[in-house]
Amino acid sequence: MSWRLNLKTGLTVVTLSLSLWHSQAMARAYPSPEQTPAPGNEQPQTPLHQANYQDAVNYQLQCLGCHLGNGEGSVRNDTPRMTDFVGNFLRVEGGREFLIRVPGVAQAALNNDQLASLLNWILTDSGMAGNSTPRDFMPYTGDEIAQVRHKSYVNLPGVRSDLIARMKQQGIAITDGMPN
Amino acid sequence: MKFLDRLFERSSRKVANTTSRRKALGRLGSYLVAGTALPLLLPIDRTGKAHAAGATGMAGDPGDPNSCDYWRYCSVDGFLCTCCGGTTTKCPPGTDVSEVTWVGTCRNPADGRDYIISYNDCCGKQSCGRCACTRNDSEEPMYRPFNNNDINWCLGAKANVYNCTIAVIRGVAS
Repeated sequence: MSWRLNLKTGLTVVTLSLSLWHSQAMARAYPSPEQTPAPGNEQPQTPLHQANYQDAVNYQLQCLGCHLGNGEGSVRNDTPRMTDFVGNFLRVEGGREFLIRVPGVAQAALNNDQLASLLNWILTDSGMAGNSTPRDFMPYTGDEIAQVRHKSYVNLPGVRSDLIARMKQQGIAITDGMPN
Repeated sequence: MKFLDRLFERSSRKVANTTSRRKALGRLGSYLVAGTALPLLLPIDRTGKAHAAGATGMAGDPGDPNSCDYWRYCSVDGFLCTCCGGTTTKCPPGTDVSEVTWVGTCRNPADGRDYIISYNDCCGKQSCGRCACTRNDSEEPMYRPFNNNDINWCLGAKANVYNCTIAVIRGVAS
């Protein structure tokens, strides 16, 4: 009896220590809770709305991840193409406002003046909008952004498809890559 | 012309008289040997080579790209591709880089400047499981998805299985 007990205890000890060893081995795959900031990065970063980077840098930090390097977009991920197209929104009613209220713009970590500047940078005819921007385009201002930015769309895809439909009515070719 | 003839004749005779051909050959040989050995023997700074994996063409890239402490990983959340058969900028064989990604900044301790870093996920193979890092210096909460590192950015790849993360320098933030 006692021999059996000993065997049982021994087995339990072995199993316990094995499971402990196993959990330790697994734990190594997870980050250390004592992780400190990377060397040179101990100071908190300057928030983007205070950093005053160039438009091209703000584009990289807030837009490029999905819209890609030159506004090509990623259809597979529902990100529309902006290159040579995005300026067409300025040609239809409600489009100018749409470019402010669309979530990627409205919720960006940039202040109103930075957003206005970034939009103008994208929409200038030497920018990624190319010739799609109308010649009489009046640049956005920080005040205009402030007035509109906080109004979110309840039905964003619906608004967008209405704008696209208006473009089609004007005979504008839809080259945003989306299945419109 | 005669003058040139004489000049060259005299100078070559002088060389022939004062030097030995065998010695010249021998010297040439030793120069050759020394010449090939020299770059190996001189105390040349080879740190650049150590970081060739993430060669950026820029000077001053301190740290170990296999460590979570490397400055470029200041906002990385996931497994380092450098530990998984890839490099700081290339996915391991058999994985695809996600098309969409998120972009942040990290300060390079060598020059104190902020660099734009793109954290692309490599996808298509099971989680690498090595060099797990969580740094969030440049990250923003989930409600700003385009600045969030908790997202599986493999949603932009052919296969959505996450393997590891690379950190590509896209330029200086200024």
